[in-house]
Amino acid sequence: MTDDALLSVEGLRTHFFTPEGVVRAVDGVDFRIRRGRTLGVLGESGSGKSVTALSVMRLIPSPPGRIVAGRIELEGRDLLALGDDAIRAIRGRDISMIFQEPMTSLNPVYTVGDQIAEVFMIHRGQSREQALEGAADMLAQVGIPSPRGRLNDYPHQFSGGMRQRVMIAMAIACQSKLLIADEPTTALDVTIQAQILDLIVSLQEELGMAVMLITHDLGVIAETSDDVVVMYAGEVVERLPIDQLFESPRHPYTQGLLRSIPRLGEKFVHGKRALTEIPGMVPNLIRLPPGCPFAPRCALAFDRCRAERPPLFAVGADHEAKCWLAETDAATP
Amino acid sequence: MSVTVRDSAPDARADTATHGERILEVDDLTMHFPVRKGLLRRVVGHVRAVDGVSFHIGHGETLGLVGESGCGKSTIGRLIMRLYRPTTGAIRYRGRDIASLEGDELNAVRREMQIVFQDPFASLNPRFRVGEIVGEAYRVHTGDRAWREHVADLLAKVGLQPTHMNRYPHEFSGGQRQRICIARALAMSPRLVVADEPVSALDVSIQAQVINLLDSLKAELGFSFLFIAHDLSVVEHIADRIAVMYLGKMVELASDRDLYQDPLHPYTEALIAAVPKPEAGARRRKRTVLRGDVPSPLAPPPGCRFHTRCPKAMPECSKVEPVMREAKPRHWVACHLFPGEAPGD
Ligand SMILES: Nc1ncnc2c1ncn2[C@@H]1O[C@H](COP(=O)(O)OP(=O)(O)OP(=O)(O)O)[C@@H](O)[C@H]1O
Ligand SMILES: Nc1ncnc2c1ncn2[C@@H]1O[C@H](COP(=O)(O)OP(=O)(O)OP(=O)(O)O)[C@@H](O)[C@H]1O
Ligand SMILES: [Mg+2]
Ligand SMILES: [Mg+2]
Repeated sequence: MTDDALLSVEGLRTHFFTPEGVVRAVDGVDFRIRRGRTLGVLGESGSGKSVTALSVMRLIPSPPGRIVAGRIELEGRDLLALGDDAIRAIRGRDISMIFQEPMTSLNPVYTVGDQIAEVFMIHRGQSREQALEGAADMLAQVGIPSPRGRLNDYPHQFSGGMRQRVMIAMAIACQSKLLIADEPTTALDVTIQAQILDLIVSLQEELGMAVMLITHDLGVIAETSDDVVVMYAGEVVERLPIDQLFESPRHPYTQGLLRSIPRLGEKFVHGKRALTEIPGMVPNLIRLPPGCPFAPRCALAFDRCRAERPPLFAVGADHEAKCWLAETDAATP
Repeated sequence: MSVTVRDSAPDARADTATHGERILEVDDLTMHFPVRKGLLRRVVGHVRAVDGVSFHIGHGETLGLVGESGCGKSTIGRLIMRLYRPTTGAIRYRGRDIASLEGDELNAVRREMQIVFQDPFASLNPRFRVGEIVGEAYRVHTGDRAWREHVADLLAKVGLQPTHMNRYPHEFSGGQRQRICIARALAMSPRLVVADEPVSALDVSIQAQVINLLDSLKAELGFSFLFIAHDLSVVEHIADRIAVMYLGKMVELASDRDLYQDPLHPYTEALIAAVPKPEAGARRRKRTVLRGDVPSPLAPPPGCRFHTRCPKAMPECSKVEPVMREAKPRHWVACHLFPGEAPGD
């Protein structure tokens, strides 16, 4: 199981202790990311995708949050055992992150050029002059027109899509081993989104970077990822290679998601049909049902699902599903 | 269960007889927002949010409106609802120009048109119970003592329980709140419904529920429908015809099938090509079809507004603004590549 995993996360649980109760935001997350590969993390709002990423970066606000269990290893080093200084050195150098909200993660009082240049100065020990040169290069790479002239602009002078690209430029400037991109294109239009995804994929090929790409968009996952984890209510409910996701998904939630989205042109091939709904609603993480968290919405649920939480069952090569229905096919360990 | 929500269903045939085939005709509509700067709040320019747009919606038809963020989709929706007064242009609702109506006359028209907004959290007043939110306008307007029954019917129609009437918005999930907004929009038996990104704020697993709901309500109640979204797959699923906008202009208008199978405008082509495909083997597909950013609507490029990003731009594109022409039967496009039939019927 250790092959060439760059990052491995096992049994991660991150909880928030709030006045309303304990929010089990991440409650049983396991995955590995291989060198130079892209792991897509799929799941709906509130399923714990960002909290998982922030746990890896050790950026969980505490209080109210705490990593209560699990191991996070980067090249065999246990990140949870590291002191503050050591983890700060890893951020940026080994792992960089594109945050979900670009506006909140750029500093409004510094110019865009200075913010990118700072990355070069810290991580490559360059002079300010060299670093600004590098910053202009980065802006050009992420497709910002007349980059040199934009170095002196402040973040508010950039459009949302351009700010997002500045964030990407900063994250890439680090040339870290792992890039975590949390919904990097969600706020963008499809034509701009396409540009950014191409950029991430080509830089990854060039630099051999591993990428953890968080999104709720199945199309984005399909076009970027090698492997996928599907999250539901704080858990990884399925883990599989990308082609399997579309050909043989095993968890009823994954299957439901795939059926529920309209696909361009489909209507003209099969005629118009109602979309397949996943009934019910997204669960409240403070009051989760005792068994499988998806059971209340699952058409295939039976008694055991409502009573007992299933573990991850292996159902094929590199394919695991947290569903009692997968038990029969599972190779008994 | 089948409940009659409307007591006077708009009879499409009767309407057609008196007002033609169209419930709405928008003609050369323009909305320029002033941009103010400095202490004196002087007007330093105008955002040309909607700039000379014409289209119509037939009785019982669903028109989809797509385009990039900031291209003017919501502004068009709000203009039709007359939440704004247009800078210039006509908005003919059932044959009558409502562009500059005011007061009681405007209120009367507004009751026949309803809008569902993107954010179901922001658009429900947290201090009122669901029953009041959904039924208030109906109760005030009709004086119907049995208004609660009407609300119960509406709630059932959108897949909620009649008992939900006594609860407050915060007790509901996003998808349920959007159902409440839809029930409220239907309370006055509208003839025209505008939905502005009605599923964009909802979880993926909930979107299908709301899309199906809108689609089946429309089939059952027969209202005319303007469906605004940036997601072309969603719009294509629900619309009969689709209009594509770019930077305040309409660039293409065609049936759902023609737009998908035979897109004419280079921007529409790019839009279709850029939609990420949720299928095996999509990885490593080259997606970039356009370069550069959407220009500012404060200073749109001269000529065709798309020429700065267009892969097929020709010299005249930066000089002469193309107008909408019927390049193929019922397929309109504003592009110099398609001379087509000149407008002005
Ligand atoms: N600081 C916090 N205090 C309390 N609860 C929190 C905090 N941060 C996150 N949570 C909760 O943790 C859960 C998981 O949140 P997370 O941000 O990881 O979701 P997500 O999968 O990234 O969703 P989205 O797609 O909306 O970004 C949510 O229920 C959220 O409310
Ligand atoms: N009340 C207003 N005052 C000034 N400018 C406005 C106003 N409303 C919209 N605009 C501007 O008009 C343009 C069109 O905005 P609109 O909201 O119609 O776009 P949209 O197509 O709905 O975009 P989105 O997909 O982001 O919702 C934008 O540049 C916007 O900033
Ligand atoms: Mg998140
Ligand atoms: Mg809008």
